[in-house]
Amino acid sequence: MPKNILVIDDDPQVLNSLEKLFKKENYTVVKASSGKEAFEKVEFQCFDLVIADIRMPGIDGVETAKKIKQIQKEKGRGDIPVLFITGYADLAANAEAEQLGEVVLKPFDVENLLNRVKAQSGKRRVVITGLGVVAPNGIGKDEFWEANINGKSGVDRILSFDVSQLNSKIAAQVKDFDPLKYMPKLLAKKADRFTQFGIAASKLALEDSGLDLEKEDRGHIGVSIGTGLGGMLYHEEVVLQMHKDKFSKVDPLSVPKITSNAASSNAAILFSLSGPNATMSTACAAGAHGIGYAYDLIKLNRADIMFAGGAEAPITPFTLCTFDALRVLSTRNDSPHEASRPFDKERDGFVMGEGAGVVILEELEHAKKRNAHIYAEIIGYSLTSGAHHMVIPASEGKDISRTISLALKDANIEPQKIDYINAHGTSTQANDRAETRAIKEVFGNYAYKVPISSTKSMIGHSLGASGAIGVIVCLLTIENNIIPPTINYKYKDPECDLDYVPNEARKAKVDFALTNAFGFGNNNISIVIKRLGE
Amino acid sequence: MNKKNRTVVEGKISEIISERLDIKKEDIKPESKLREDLGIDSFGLVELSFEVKDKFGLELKDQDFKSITTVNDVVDYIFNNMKGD
Repeated sequence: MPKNILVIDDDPQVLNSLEKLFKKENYTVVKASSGKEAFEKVEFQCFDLVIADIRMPGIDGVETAKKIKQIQKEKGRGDIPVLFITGYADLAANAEAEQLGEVVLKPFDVENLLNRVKAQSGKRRVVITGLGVVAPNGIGKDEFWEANINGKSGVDRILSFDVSQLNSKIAAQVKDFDPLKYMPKLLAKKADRFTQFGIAASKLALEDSGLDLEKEDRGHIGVSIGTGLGGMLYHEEVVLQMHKDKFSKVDPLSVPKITSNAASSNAAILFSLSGPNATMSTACAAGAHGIGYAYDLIKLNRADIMFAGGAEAPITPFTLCTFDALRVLSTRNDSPHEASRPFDKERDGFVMGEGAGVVILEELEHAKKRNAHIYAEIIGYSLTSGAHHMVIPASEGKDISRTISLALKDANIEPQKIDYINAHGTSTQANDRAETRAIKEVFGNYAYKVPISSTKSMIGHSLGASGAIGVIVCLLTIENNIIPPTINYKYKDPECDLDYVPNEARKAKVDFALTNAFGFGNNNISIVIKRLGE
Repeated sequence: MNKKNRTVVEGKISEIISERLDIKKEDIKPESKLREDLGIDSFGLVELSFEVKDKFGLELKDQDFKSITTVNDVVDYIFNNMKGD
């Protein structure tokens, strides 16, 4: 929704009545009685929509709009939609105005005007034109997808440190990752493993998108890579050394290496992307939140392209130890490949994972203009808080069903439209039961028909990266018309009795996909993704 | 301290600069200016100071870099301030 409207009219009565009308609809209205006054406002303030009278003394509405668009460009901001109003049938002037925006003739129907203002906000559509993934069962989209449709597990015994004191001695580790393939040596050295993953996924996504950054306005390209924990591996190393030696032994560059926004910021530095830059840190939902936030930024015209997703490298003694103490990790140490078994009756907790997923979100027209390959469109999403407990889902899935419902409502589609659900499906007793209940509540009988799978069965739970990888799985499912399986599904749980695409990938036409991510802290998000043109 | 020790210090400094700041060893000459020739920024100098302190136990303060401009100046500083032999 556009929130800030600039209204330009030389008639104070029109200005006041429009202000009253839009304020009632919760818009912020700024008034200008001439073109000159409007320019001053635009210089210092960002607007989402301009409404201008065509015929004004001095600079007319058309010239005013032209100049405003020019100021926007000079300031490195995005274009602003313009709605012209006029009481005159001046065909030449109206035709010129139509080149720049929509024209509404006076006297106008208030309802009609409001609808046209509201419609302006829906004009920017967001598509995905590139993806990059670093996962425990494959790096890069081809290797990753091949592994997924073949049900290849990335879970193994932890070898990077002594696990003798842990109950859970297994994890889904990214293998054969060489940071120097994706970034200069100095950057690799100054980056925690999570940042290295984030940068690698960004680079893969950029290559996949075919974007030529030299030709783009880099001020309109941003980065939003979420993370749950940030630079834990290095943090732990540095703290240990600090206590073992002296405080003076602490690396002066520890802070920029550990900080949660290191992945987003380093990606921006590496690719010179000077648009919006932020890091969502909403635990296991961070990767999906990173994408949701980026989607909003493009919708709101604060960016045309966003590198968005999540990165996490939590396989460290401290992180494992605390999750272990919380008793949420699987202890099926003897058969690591079978440890992550979402929705299976014998599931005994999640398997810690690591990795990164980054997608290139792009405004539809921008993507079309450069003939980009479009994977799919994000057509809606929802954000909620269970407002209940840091770890336990609220009242057995009520907050989850509300989250899914809101996402479908935002996307403006019926539940029956969804062809595939990429579940959060962590393999904990609580999550899988609550998520199943929520799906039943939202989808009714259709819940038993819609295919649902949890790719965490293969790649474990990479916390802040997992939501972004979930989006990538949806994109590849739509692209290839194959649904990846939930592996290790052997024993039916009466409380989890839906179609989880057990053990074998399945061919199916998927036009609409839904992905869920829920984080500690009761942060929930669902994203609806649609094949373009369906 | 003899000439041999000075060579050791030179070698160590060159190693620190090349390893820590990822600058090619062949570009690091005694007369190379730290900022202008090697492109070491203020944070790079902080890192260099950190390594010097770690390896030689000598504190290089910000104001010291007013007179220390080349690789040779760093070596001189260490050579002149190292205690004992």
